[in-house]
Amino acid sequence: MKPDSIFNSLDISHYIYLSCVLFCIGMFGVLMRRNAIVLLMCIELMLNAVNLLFAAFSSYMGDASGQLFVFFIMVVAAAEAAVGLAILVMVYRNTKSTDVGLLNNLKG
Amino acid sequence: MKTLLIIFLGTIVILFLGINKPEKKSLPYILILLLAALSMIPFDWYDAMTGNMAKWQTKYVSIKMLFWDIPALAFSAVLIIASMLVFILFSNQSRKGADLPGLMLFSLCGGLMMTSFTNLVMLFLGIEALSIPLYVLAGSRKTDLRSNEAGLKYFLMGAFSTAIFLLGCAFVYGGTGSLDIISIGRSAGMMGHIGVKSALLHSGIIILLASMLFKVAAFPFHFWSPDVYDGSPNRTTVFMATVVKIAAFAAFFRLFQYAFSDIKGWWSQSMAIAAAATILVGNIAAVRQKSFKRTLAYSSIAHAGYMLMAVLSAPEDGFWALLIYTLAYAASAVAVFYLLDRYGKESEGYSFESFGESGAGNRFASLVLIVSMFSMAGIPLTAGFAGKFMLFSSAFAQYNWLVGIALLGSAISIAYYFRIFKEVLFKPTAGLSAYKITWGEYAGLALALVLTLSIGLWPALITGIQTMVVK
Repeated sequence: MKPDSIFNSLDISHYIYLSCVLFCIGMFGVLMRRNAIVLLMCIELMLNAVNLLFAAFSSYMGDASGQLFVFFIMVVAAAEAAVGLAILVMVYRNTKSTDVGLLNNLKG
Repeated sequence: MKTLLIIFLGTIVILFLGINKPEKKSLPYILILLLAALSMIPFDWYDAMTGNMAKWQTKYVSIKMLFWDIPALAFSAVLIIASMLVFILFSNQSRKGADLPGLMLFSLCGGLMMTSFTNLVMLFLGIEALSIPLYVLAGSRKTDLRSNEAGLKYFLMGAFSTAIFLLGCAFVYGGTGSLDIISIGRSAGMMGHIGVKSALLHSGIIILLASMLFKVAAFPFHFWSPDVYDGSPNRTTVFMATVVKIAAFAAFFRLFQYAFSDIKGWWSQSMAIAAAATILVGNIAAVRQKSFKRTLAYSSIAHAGYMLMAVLSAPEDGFWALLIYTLAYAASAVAVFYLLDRYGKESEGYSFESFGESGAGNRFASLVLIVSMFSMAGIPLTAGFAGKFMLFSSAFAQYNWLVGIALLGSAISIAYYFRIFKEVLFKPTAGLSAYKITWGEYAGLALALVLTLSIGLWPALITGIQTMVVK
């Protein structure tokens, strides 16, 4: 048996609320901030909120496929961050800035 | 299965073969690879129809996360044909190395996974395998600020919508306890409207709908796509407008028709409104553009609106309508983008006025342009008309108001599709400096023309296959 800890007494709804709050913080960060590096961090926060939710559901239902999904999300998030940072470095070389507000050449 | 493996392994070989050679040199290998992959589809089709596919998969593939049934095979064929057209018509690149075509082929692998997934994990991996190479391709002109901006915007929007998609997956998983779309569909059908699980599933479906609308660039979430299409290099733009859009729609169709068709009442109204708004916004915004490239970007938003009608209609009709429409759209869009690339002037932002001065000397190219434009506008005797007819008739039973709006949208679209004729055909300067078209490009244009006309003049070709499959 698992030792009696505070985590066993928590209901699944607490995890859902926590993940939703984290996800919303990340989402507002993406929508409000102008610095591209902060945007990347906010997207990571959104992905990790989803990871937490998957892990919580998975252990609540005793089904392993949710935890499998978490590993795939981690792998893909790493690949995405690598490509994203490379694009960011390229933009920085041309504009000397990480402010996404400066990128406004495409309009119409 | 064989198709995906052939393309994936072959791409790795092509990357090595193309080192330090001009990109043009790897084109024959790419075409052979795609033809080999395409030639596997009839065999798989036969297996799928006789039921051998299910046996083969249970025998050799222990985890069934991908399943090649008739819709998956048909959309795979459309994706491969569309990428062949892109590779043939946009082969004239002076760059060294085969990395950019290699990225496009890896992206195509992701598209094939999106047509054949049976598990949300595979759908997620397919979307990412499709998108991540495209972020690189969109920003592939490193010193061009417009290309940089397109790459960064596409990356941020893509990653953001992926996070929303994953939240939807998590909610659906919490509601139904499974990631397999067939068992999700089974438990969703048995679920009532009351309770925590039902609330989780309901919100999950709405979040998934929003993220898929994001991916296909439909109305409330379409704002990123004109900028990205405008800023990307032409070959990437046409790849995004055809292969990526078709793959996204194949996945959209599969997800909502397989998993959520029993609870259609929960999402069909919001999707119908999104489709109507997409058609109107896309067409009206396209009329107001000065640049032909941006017009085509907005017109592809409008086309996404038409294709949404297939997801709303009954599974069988919707599938055949979507298949014809995507094939017609791919053939004509690639040809039109090719002529944009050749005739337009990038320095003038591909404005409509810049076309007449340089192009239209070539009769055959003008003919292809006219037929493709007719097809995109949905004029009879072209494939676009057959596709639109099947789409509208499949959706008419339940959503007659939506068909009315779609017809209005098609009428608006004629205004901007025919505007280019005025520049190319009726300018006095036209025909001065004819662009020289190579034999390969003639073959590609002819293939697009044959596809467009054969389906348009002879729709029985497809309905014949349809009756054969249904039997």
